[in-house]
Amino acid sequence: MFEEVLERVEYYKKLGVNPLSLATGCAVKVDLERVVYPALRKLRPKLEKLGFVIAPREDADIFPRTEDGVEVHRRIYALGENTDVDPDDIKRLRPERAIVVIQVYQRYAHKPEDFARLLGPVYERLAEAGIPIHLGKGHSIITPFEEDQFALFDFIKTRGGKTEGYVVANNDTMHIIDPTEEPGDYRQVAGALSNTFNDLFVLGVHENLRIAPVINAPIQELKEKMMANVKKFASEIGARILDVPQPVKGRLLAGATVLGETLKKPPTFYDKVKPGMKVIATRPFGELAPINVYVASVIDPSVVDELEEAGITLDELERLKDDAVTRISTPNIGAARVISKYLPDAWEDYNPSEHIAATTDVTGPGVYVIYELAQLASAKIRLYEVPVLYPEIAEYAAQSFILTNATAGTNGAFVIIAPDEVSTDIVKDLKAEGYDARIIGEVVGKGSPEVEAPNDLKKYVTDQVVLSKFKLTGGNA
Amino acid sequence: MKAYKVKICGRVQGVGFRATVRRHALKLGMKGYVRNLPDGCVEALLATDRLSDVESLLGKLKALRAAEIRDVKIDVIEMENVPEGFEVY
Repeated sequence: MFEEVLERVEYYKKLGVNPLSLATGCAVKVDLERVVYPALRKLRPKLEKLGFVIAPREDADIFPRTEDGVEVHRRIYALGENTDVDPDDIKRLRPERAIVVIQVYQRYAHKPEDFARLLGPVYERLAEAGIPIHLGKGHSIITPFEEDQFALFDFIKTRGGKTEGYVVANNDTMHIIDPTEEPGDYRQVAGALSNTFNDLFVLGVHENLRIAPVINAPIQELKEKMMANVKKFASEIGARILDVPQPVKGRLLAGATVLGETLKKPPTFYDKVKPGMKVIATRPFGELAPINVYVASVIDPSVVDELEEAGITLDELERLKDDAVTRISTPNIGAARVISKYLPDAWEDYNPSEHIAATTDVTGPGVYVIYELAQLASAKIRLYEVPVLYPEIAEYAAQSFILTNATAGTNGAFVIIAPDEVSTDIVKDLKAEGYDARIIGEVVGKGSPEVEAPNDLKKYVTDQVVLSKFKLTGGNA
Repeated sequence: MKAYKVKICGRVQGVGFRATVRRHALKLGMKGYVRNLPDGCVEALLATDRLSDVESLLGKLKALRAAEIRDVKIDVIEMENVPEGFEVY
């Protein structure tokens, strides 16, 4: 088994991706706190003078929907002094917003000044057009190949007409979901796209979905196969594929800019979160644990021995890994439909006994996202349980330091804060959509953020920074 | 505090080596770091008093499937500031 997987790893290396060096989930990202934000802070004063607005860190870009819809125009530019940005082109397009993917050579990805030096000329040339552009969502990834650098801008322009409801846009990219399967496997692309859509679905956005794919591979046949998988995925969720250019050179990459529309208000009523509201999970957390343990078992024979001692066979691990990949590649559109049902119409006020107040999706930080939600809502939350998908594997992953937060996810579960009056109905509706949903806690107060969780959380999280944010009490997680 | 600076050469980059060093170091209660070097080797700083723990870790690394260790150099150093955790650079 291991020989076969290692052969596949070699194949991935030829495609420019090393599965043994990657954390499962998103493409290797430029560090936001240490590099991207300090670089943007350097650029911001100059850019804002030129009419650029850089949005604060958001999971998705939300803006008013107009009756005649939006246009998406993709441009792919070189980074640095030799950038090929054409300000006249921007004057013709007159975009209002942009969603950006920056792929940067690893040497320039670790210092804000290096990153700013590459990015600065691109924004400065764009600003020469004199068109104020709102930079709504940015995403920066690292490449080990200098020639593969690019800045991919999806410019968005609203067509006009009556303003009603909202458009939500997001972008994300991945290299690989399951390193033990072929890159042309449907679940690889479906996972990348599901994960990108998750930031829309968590807001209850599920209508008029569009995909502007970002697909790349060094082999044309593989690229075509991946694009065919995008089409299959789009038809499964009723999305339309936008005809946009793709990077012409480079290594394996799958993702998209995605857009959706809603006539509801998004669930960002953080000030409406109040004691008595319930915390709902659409399903248990932690789909990354079996994938990471599986990859570790391929690398390190001692993992196999330890698993056997813990009573977990390799066949069982492989089955759980497969289950996790299926979950990652299954879009959470059913949960979006349920969330949408419990939101106010765009022209309606929030009703504290009917409407969902806030939602979040469980991503790389795992259960920590509930603490972030408590911060946004200035709330004290008591969790009765932290449900995990594969408790034995999650515990092993955390205790053996393979994944120090085994509640981490990709295309993960949603956490919903909703009034007590509708919480059981929401769970019932989620179950009807096929989710293993449950009420996992409640809001117990307002003020400085606090999350109380069962002591057993320590079994699944050994990252002390994450654990320190929770007030652990007796009982099972 | 005493620490061991270990330089490991061979086929040690791009094979999941650093993550495995971190994993076993944490299991042994060590703090420190591990990083790739430009010459293709890997350097680990292992804050521990026990050479036996360092040897145990090296034993685990020698068994890795895709790696091949050709040379190991161990230096003992005194550290004033012990790192907080175990970082992978």
